[in-house]
Amino acid sequence: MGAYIDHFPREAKLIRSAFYTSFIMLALGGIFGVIQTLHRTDVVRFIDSADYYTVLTAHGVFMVIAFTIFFLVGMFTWAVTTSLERPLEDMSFSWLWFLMMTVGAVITGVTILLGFVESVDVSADVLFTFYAPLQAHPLFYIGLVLFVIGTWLAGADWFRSWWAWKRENPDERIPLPTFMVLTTMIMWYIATLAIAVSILAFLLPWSLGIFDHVNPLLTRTLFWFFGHPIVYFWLMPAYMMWYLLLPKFAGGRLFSDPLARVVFILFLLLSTPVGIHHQYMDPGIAEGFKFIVMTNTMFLLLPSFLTAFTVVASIEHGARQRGGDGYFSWLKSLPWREPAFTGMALAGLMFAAGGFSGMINAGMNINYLVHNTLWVPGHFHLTVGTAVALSFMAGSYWLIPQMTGRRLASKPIALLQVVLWFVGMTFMANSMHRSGLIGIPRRTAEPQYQGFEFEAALGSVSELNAQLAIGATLLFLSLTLFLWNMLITAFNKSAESPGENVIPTPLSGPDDSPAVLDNMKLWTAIAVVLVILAYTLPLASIVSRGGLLGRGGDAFPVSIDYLALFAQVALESAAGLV
Amino acid sequence: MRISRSGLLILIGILIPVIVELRTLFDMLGIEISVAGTLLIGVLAIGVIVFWATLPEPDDSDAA
Repeated sequence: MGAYIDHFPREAKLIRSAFYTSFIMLALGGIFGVIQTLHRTDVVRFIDSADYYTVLTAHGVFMVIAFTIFFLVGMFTWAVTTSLERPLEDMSFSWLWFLMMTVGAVITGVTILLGFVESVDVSADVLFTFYAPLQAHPLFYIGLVLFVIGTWLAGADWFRSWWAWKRENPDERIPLPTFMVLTTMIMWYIATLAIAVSILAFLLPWSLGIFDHVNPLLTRTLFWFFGHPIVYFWLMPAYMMWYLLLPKFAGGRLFSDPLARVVFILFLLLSTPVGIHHQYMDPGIAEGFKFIVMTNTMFLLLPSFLTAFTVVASIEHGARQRGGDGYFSWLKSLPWREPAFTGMALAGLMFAAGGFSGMINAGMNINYLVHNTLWVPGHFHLTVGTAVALSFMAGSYWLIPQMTGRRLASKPIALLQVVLWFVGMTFMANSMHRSGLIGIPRRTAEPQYQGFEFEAALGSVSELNAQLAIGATLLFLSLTLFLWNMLITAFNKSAESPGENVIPTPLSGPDDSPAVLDNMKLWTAIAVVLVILAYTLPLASIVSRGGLLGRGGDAFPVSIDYLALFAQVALESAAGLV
Repeated sequence: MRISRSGLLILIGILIPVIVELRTLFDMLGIEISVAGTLLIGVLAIGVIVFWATLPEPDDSDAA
């Protein structure tokens, strides 16, 4: 067994293309990230504040839709082909979905960037959360539709590989990496149905002028139906790396294959019926529904805790295989010199902090304190901005040599890069969380705190801004080092064996778990039922109140309904007493 | 050196968030540390670690 490229040269070319496209998107997203931070903190302002939303939209869409998902399709193709030990069924079909995603991303990206060109009446300043009432040019939605259909076809490609493998191996358990891909894609199919409805039935016709108006709350709810599971869509390739690669780099094996399967099933079941937790502050959705969603959300902590246990146990096993001992001394035996290992380990550490701030977001009452403040970007810069992005960058230090057969340009710079990201994100996330706690809003070009007395809980607002700007600068520097390393590696003439493309067998294998875990039909059915249970009543209520296209239903504010309800309960109680 | 250069880099990397977050924590306990004070503590802590890391390894042969 050699490097990946030796066995699957055609697939390696596709995966390389996906990774390089994701790096281009990362570069664009990073540039807009540092521009907006320096503008917001008033360190360097060279854009008009009126263009701030264009910058913000570009940062969000390039980072969390394009960078993450292009990387994901590369990673998943690697996982399926490696674990099934077979090439993709039809490369022309595989290139078709990649091409479709690329065309979609380019159309959407160009539409956003045209927002900077005043002479052209095209823009899409709708942010990553592209629901009404913010409206984009139709091309923005058309690009997204192509991109999402591309991901659907990619999923079909991986399912096709699995079905072909299954015909030849009817009695075998699904290999774990393929299992992870399939469960994640089922979740993605369910989640994207809502955004497909939102775009095709409402937002696109509205932007084309076919409808005069849409129901904003309906499009928001459909967005968050998709908007929460997309978080796990970004996260699952990172989880996959932590489960499959991190134990390998540590010198050991995955602790438990069954536990990993349970985790991915739990994400399939629980990540979609919880989107309303992004809407705790939305009027028009009854508090009862929100409370149910909060409870469901708290259950999502379980797979994350299981992951923390399994991955740390696997790493410890690896360290002990390398001669480590003691309660904590084994940590010294880990391969900290390897940027792929160190980056993923630091990403996992930051994810723990992101998980804790996520619990605050998930709690209805505490969420009210931090909703729409800088706390929220602080949270997701720890999760998608570090757990995902840093894992992807660290993983690239192993994956790109596997896909190219070329030596990594500089390992010491790679190590410096991952540590720099960790430090930069510490400054940025700490500042964002603290700012959020004192009510500083997010998505604001010029938050002004001068000329009046405003007591920050610790230090001052200028100090928080300085910390934010330092963090963003360090992150941008780290990103530049990463891209430079990847660029030099891509053209590195020094070919060196990148090592074996082998995923070690777990300590506790699939045979230690019940076969029902591999029953995809069962888990899909349960996931669909849970979504129906979670969304039918809220959606019915939103449509009955506001109409499918808005401007219908009962008068607002909804508090009048509560007054009527209280009056009815009081009367019934009084009647009962009498 | 007591630890490898990569180990030292990571140790310093991990120390920075600890110092930044400890400042926030101390404030919640009513102990306010200024930015300059935090910087000084950081530089001192990193200096101590670098000093320790660059000390020669203890010679085990003496003990034997």
